Amino acid sequence: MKYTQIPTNTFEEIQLNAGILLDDFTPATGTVGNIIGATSGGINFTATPEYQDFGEDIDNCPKNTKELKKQTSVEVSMSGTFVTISASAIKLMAASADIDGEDATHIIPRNDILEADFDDIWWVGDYSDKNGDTNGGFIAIHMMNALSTGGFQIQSGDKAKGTFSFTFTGHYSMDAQDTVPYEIYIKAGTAEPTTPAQSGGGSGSGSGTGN
Amino acid sequence: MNKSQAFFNYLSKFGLPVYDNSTVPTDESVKPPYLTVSYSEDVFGTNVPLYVFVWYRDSSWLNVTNKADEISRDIGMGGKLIPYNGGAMWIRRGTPALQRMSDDSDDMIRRIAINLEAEFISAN
Repeated sequence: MKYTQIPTNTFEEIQLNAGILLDDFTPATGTVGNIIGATSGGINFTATPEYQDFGEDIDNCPKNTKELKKQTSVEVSMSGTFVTISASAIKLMAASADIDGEDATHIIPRNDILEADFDDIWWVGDYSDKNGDTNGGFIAIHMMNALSTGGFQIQSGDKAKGTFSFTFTGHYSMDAQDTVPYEIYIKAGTAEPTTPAQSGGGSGSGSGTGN
Repeated sequence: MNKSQAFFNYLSKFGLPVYDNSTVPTDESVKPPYLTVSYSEDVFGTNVPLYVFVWYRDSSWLNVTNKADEISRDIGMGGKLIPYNGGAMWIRRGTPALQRMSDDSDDMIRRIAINLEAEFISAN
C-alpha cells in the first residue's frame, strides 16, 4: 500500500530511552555534568507558545489571521519523577531554599526568591543509530533560568521506593527579554574510534550459524 | 545483512560458536561452551522476545555466569542498536535479564538464559 510506509532512515532519526537530567552539558564535546537524580517514567518537556491575536476584536477580521498574530511568550516546563534524592536536589526542588552552612544535611526553605535560585538544567537523551560512549548521538534540551514551580514533593509507599515529583519552569530575564528560555541541540552519532588490534594471546573469534 | 544474520553476527563477537536453538549440530566434536538462540522477528512498532542461551559443561557456575554477564553488560541499560539492511534492531534486556536453567540429561551442563526484547526499526 503506497501510503503505509515509514521513512527509510527511521532508525537513524530515532530517540531512545529516558535520557538524563543534568546540571551542565557541553554539546560541542558531549561532556556531561552531574546527573541531578535517577528518574522513573521518563521526562516530559513542553515549550508552549502563547499568542495574542490582534485581529480578534476587529470587525470582519477572521480569527487567526497570520499577519495579526503575535507570539508574546513561551511557557517552558520540564517535569518528571525522581527516585533518588540528595541535599542539592532537595534544595533545587524546594526552589527558594538554602543548605545550612553548618550542617549540610539541613535544608532551610525561605520566603524570598533570590537570583541564585534560578539555574540552568539540561535534559539529554540518546539519538540516532550510533550511541557509543565516545561519539554517541544526542538530543539535548537546555532550559535556562529554571526554577522549581512544582515545589518539593515526596510520595512514599509500603515496600516501595519513595518518589519525588518535580516540575521546573524556564524563565526569561530582564537582561535578555527576547531570549526564549530554552534551546535544543540535536546531533547524530558517528562511528566509535576503532581500537588498534592487540597482538599475542587470547581467542576472540566466534562463528554464527543462524541461517 | 538480513535481520537474523545481523543478530547472529553480533553474538559471534563474544568468542563462542552461535547456533540456532533448533539446529545445534549433533556431531561429537560440537561441545559446550557455545551460545544458542531462540530467534523471532517482526517489523516496526512491536516488541518480540528473543532468548540467548549460554551453555557450559562445568562443575561450577562461574564461567557460564561470567560469559552471560559479559553479554548482558555489552547490551547495557539502554540496549543495543544492531543495524541490518534497511534498518536496525533495538535489543534490550528482558525480565528477568538472566535465568539459570537445569538440564535433566546431564547434571554437568550449566545453562543461563539471557532474556531479551527486540524491536525491529524498519518497514520490512
